[in-house]
Amino acid sequence: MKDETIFSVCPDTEFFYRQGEIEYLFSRAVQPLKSLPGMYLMGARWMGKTEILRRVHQRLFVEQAGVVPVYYQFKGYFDVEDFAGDYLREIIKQYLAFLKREPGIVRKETSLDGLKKLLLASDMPGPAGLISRHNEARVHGDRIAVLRNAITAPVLLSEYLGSRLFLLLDDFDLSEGVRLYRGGPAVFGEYMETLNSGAFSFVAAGSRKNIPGAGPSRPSVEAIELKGLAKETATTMAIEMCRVHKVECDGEVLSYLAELLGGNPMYIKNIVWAARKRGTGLARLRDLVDVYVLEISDGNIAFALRSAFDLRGPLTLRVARACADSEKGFSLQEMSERFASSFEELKDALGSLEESGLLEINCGLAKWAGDNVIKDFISYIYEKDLKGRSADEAKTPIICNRLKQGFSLLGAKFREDSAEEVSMLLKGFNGQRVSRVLFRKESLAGGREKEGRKRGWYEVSLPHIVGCFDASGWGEGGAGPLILVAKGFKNASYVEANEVTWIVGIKDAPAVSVHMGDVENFMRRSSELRAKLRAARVIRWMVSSEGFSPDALKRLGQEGIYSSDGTQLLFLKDAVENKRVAPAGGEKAVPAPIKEFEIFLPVKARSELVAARAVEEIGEEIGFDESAIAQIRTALVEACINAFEHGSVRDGKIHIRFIAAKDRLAIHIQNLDGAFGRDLLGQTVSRTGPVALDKRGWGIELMKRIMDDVRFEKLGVGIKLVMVKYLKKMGEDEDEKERAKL
Amino acid sequence: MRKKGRNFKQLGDRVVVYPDNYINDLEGEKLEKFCYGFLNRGIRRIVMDFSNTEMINTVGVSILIGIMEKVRENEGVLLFSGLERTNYEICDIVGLTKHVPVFKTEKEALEGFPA
Repeated sequence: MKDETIFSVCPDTEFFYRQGEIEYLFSRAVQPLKSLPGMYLMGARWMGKTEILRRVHQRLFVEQAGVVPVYYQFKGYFDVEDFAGDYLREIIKQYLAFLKREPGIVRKETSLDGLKKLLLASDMPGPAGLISRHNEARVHGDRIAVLRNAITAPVLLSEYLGSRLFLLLDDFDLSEGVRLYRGGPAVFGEYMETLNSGAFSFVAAGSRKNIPGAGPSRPSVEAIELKGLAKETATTMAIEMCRVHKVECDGEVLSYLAELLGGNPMYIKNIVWAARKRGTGLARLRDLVDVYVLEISDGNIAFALRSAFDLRGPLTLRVARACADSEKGFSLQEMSERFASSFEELKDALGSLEESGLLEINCGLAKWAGDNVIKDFISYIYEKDLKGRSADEAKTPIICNRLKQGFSLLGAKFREDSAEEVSMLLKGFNGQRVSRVLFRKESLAGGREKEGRKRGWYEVSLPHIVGCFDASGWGEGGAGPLILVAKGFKNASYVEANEVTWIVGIKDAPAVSVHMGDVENFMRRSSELRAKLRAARVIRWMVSSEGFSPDALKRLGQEGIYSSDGTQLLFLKDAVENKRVAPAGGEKAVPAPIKEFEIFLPVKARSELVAARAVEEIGEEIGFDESAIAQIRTALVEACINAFEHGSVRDGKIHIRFIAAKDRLAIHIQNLDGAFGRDLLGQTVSRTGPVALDKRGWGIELMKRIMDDVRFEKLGVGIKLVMVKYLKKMGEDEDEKERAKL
Repeated sequence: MRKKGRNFKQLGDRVVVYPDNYINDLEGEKLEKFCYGFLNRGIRRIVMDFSNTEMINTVGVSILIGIMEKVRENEGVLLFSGLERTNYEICDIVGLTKHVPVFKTEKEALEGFPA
């Protein structure tokens, strides 16, 4: 379509969701003239006004023959002759192109004299006369005649042709700058008179919120406000653009982007283009904020903003920054005192900012009227250019602020399936070190270095979690928030001394935060659980997407119980996922999935071989070598035999659960009649030296020798055997080398 | 798991026994029967070649201990060969390797009988 359009437009794949406005303008253009012949399309910069006007023009040119469309974009002019010549040339050029159905005439650079020849060659002396009168008036220095000839051209052409014109006037704000001569009076008033004459209809597009030419003595125009795309629409646009440009993205993150950018299509496009150029995705909040800050500091958006707004003067920048940071605005007096400047200087600065659309000044009060992006842009150049900070220092507060805002908004999504989310989060704990503020209710920007604190205090070392279960499996069935139990090991060393248990209370009630009663309930139930689990080291953690009451927080802090709200959980999720070890070769790190397999074996001869076969496959998938798989298989067979032997029911079943993580395999074996190995508890078999060989009772010893960790967990009924084999041991096992004698 | 092979091979006054791929109580009892039979017929040099054995559980090991004791009672010699690493570990844990010499291959074991 780009090649076919008369005026250049963006590709259709990058133009979104303005069909309603286009359709309306088109339909108004082709209707008979009404009492309000004019429309004013008002909207902030880069909202798509130009695209809309040009696409309406295209449709009018191609799809109908009753109205002559003329698109004109106002610019800065030297004087009225400059404007009039340009205006007249465009009107006549497009008029001729429409009549002859030759769009190429529009794209061609043709002088007025060239157009005159074309008109005469086409036997159109009337329109050609307009050019003659223009030239004559110029020769005589009659600026008013030059102006009137140009601005009445649409009227004359309509009468001549018998078809009226429809003017599409872009950047209409600039029309107010047209002067009769340099420094002379504006001609806007006279221009508006002709626009409102009723001889033709028009739509003007501008950034000003007040309708030009409106007043008691002049007919009004119909106002059409072009706002930013609705959040959902903008998100869809962003997703579609990411798809087209093959940028990895996440819907929730882009939803935040849409909100941040106020649905401004130009901003959205530039962020996606920047992400594509950088080779980063927009799937994580952190990536999005990085791209955003780059764009508003050094990217296309920064370039566009610098061109659009003149913020070079220190006072202008100070005023802009102060107003952007203030909700209630400033009076002239307040600003004069604050900036220690004269009223005159201040008025110039305010006038410039008002003209740019960044401020609204009403009744002596100046208030910020720009968007978030411009606000951050101003903050950046203020810190960098005025305060002399480095680029990184200037960007940091913006990054922090937008991350915090993003997580706060995304935190609302943590409410659903909280238990599942927390469970997955726990399973992702793999020895990472994360900031302590994610487990304490402190300001995200504060709570840092304090006197006397050791450096390590600011971090929490997460354990390697091997399994996460609902506490009801341990006979915990008290009323109150759901409790999960996560078992793990510190320092990646799977020995009993390093075992740690996280008891996590999750409050999932919408719009209800954790209160003292919840805390007391959790403390009681977690204490009972701790006794049942016989866990040596326990970390307690309360989670609530809706947060905590002050009293509850205080009590949790006193008891040494971690607490995290929805925002902290999202930060934590991001931290846990980002701190996974990246695969070799520079591939993007992917969170290691944990797979669980379960089998139920009947207590029958050789049924342990079914488990052996299963564990061979699982071990191979994890990446264990043949020797390790043989060891695991042997230990599992022993465990099954033990379970068979100690089960009290002849035709019972045993339950085996395999938990396969990236670097380990944990196997849980439980006799379903609950009688498995009561006598195994407390067994510490350790035999050394040449002794008379004992024929039986070697199973546990064998398991402990060949697996990295073996433990028995007491359940409500019976016990469970848990064995873990680690893929990479901490250091080489010298004994294994010696045993490899064959 | 590997397929079942032949059970034994007699070579004069020596016999090589080939246990199954999984030595549990049942297979252990079968081995016991074989070995006791050979001992009763006066064949006191026994090699157990575990090349086909993928897994030995502790019940099976306990039966092997019984066989070792029986051979010793009959003043015979029992040798092991072809043990995989994990199976060797199992035998080592229970202390069997201190009482039964272990060779890499059947050939080496047959040559390893004392004069």
